[in-house]
Amino acid sequence: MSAARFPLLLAAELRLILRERLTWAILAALVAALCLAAWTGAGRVAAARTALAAAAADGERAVREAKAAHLRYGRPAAIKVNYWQDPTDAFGYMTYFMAAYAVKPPTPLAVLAAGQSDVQPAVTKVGFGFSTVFDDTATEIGSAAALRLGPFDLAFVLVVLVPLAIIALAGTRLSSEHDSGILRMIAAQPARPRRVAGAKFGAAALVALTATLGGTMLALLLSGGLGDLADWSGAAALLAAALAAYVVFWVAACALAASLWRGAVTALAGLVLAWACLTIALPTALGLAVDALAPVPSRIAAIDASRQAQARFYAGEEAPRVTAAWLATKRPEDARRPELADAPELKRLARDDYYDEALADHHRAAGAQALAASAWSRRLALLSPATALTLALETASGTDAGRHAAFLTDAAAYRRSLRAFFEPRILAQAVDPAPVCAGCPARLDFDAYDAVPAFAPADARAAAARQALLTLVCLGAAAFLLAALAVRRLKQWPA
Amino acid sequence: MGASVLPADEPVLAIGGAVKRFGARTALSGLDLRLDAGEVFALLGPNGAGKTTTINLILGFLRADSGTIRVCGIDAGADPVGARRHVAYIPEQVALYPGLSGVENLRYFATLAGLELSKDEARALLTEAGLAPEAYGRKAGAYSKGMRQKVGIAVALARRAQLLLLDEPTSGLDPSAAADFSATIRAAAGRGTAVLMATHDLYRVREMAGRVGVLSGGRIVEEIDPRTLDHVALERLYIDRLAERAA
Repeated sequence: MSAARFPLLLAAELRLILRERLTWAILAALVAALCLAAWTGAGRVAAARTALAAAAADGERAVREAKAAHLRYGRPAAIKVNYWQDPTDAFGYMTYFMAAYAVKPPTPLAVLAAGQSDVQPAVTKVGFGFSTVFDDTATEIGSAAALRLGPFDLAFVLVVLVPLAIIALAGTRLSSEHDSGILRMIAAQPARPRRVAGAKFGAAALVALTATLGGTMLALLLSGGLGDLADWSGAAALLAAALAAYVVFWVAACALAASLWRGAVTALAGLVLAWACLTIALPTALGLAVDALAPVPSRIAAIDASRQAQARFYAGEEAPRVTAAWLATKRPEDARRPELADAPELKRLARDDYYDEALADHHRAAGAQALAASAWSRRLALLSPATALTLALETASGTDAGRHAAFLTDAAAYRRSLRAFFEPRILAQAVDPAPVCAGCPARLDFDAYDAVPAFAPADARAAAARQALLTLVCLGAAAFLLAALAVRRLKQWPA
Repeated sequence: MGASVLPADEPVLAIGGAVKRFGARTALSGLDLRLDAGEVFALLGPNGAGKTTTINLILGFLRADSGTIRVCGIDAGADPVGARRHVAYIPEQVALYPGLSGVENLRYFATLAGLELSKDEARALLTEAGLAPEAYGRKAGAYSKGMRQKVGIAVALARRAQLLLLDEPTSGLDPSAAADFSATIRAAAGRGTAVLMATHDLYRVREMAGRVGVLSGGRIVEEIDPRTLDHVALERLYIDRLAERAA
């Protein structure tokens, strides 16, 4: 058979595969799983968007109420408002009224993978009202085993279930024909084994690709969870190509299994074993390797250090001493004013710095561990097609550990920028406490509510495109390698 | 496909001194065979005599350790696909896709051979092969062995192959189906197709074959014209030759 006739053979194989009831049963189950997973993901994305909207509304409410209070307190009155009740006081506003949030908005593709979002929130309040050990103490870290099991999201279906569907669809191509004797009829025709196998597995790949990519698109559209892809079309296209390479990888694995000519049962057993190794055992082993290479520092030790710092600060004359020393570094010209050492706002600012310094090593260790774990995860993920695709999907979804580590770093920087914004105002207010309005109940010396720095979320698009491209290259190379091995083995028919 | 015209002196099948060993066991030890267009040659022999090995060598599934196998002048070892263009093969158990009808199976195998058959052409070929029209659209999973063989013959007819290889073609067929099959093969030979069949069925051999070769120990120990003997004499001769060889 000439190469020009290959499309005819491919069409014949497509008709053959589409005539099988098993094919339609597999495709129906796959599309149903994709729709269910997309619905789960859309629910999570909706919850994250609701949390972000609530945070934004809370921030606007705080500013609105502070402005209203400013107007209300701007007239003399018989009452006295304390600083913790006064949003017109810089320290009072910063500590008790301001609603500032660091946010990690879902990407337009967030519906694809829950990733780390189970334990890592998309929004965290950045404030000074209480001292936190960690920036994400609002959530509890769950069991690693439960996390590994993961939610039933699109990433789970695409990474774990799609290969099973492909194995069911293509795992016994040629090998079942070998068992039934049809292969001898096929082999007796003037067609090269590579061409016949190419048509058989090419048809299976076309069906699997159409079902996986088309089913995913359908599920995303039906779930309504897909965001505006206008600026994300490049990343989305690369991700779709990486997913296609993943599908081709598993079809090539089926071709390689068939080329061993050991029968359908052996081919299926080998493929299921490979699936278990590549999608379950190897990712688990790589997760353990990341834990070993970037061990998590003890949170208990950090909490203990925080308690010890608190105990030290309030013991004996430590608080005035620390406050005076802090003031000497900030305003040397006012350091000798003893009343300032007792000013509650300065004592509080000094205490926060004291705590920050006491916990600096723990913060540094936690930050370094998060970055190291993220870096190792990115490197090791490429060792398994399943982890590579998972990471690409999570990065596109913005739910990966690396983005969260960067988010925590950004949130800490944001907290510092807020502190830098308020600190000079609080200091100025403390060293010159003359009232702005005689007889008014509040301080009224802070009204720059709209000038308070806002958190600027990092753009996840470039990282998503980069990871998808890297995954595409790796999966493409792996698929090519398997296909080349299969082609080499399919030089001749079995005797 | 296989309808190219051969030079007058070129046999359809020429096997010269073919030797094939599987480890210590010798399956063929210098097999010589020549088959011209329109001839029906029956290879008689017990299990393990080398019949299936001979067929595998002609189809290019195996390569001979020494000797030559040429189909229509093409070396089957060096160019198995080229040789198979001229060969149609009907195994003892014709296996078809059970979920496809006879027409669909025929069109599929024709596509493998590089042919595009319309449904009407496929039906005409199945009719020529002797399959009843009511079976055309039925799934092949419900076909009897005889019906599956007719689809196999239809594949051979579609390809206009110059050499037809039959492996135990009549085993398991009822007498009526076997008689139909004999008639179909004779018709094919009448159209110039060379037929090589490996069989134990002496009755059908005498009915179909123009020449009979007794294969023993990996080579043809006697060639017989079956028309010169009745069934009993043919059977006696076959058993005697095998006994002599065993001794």
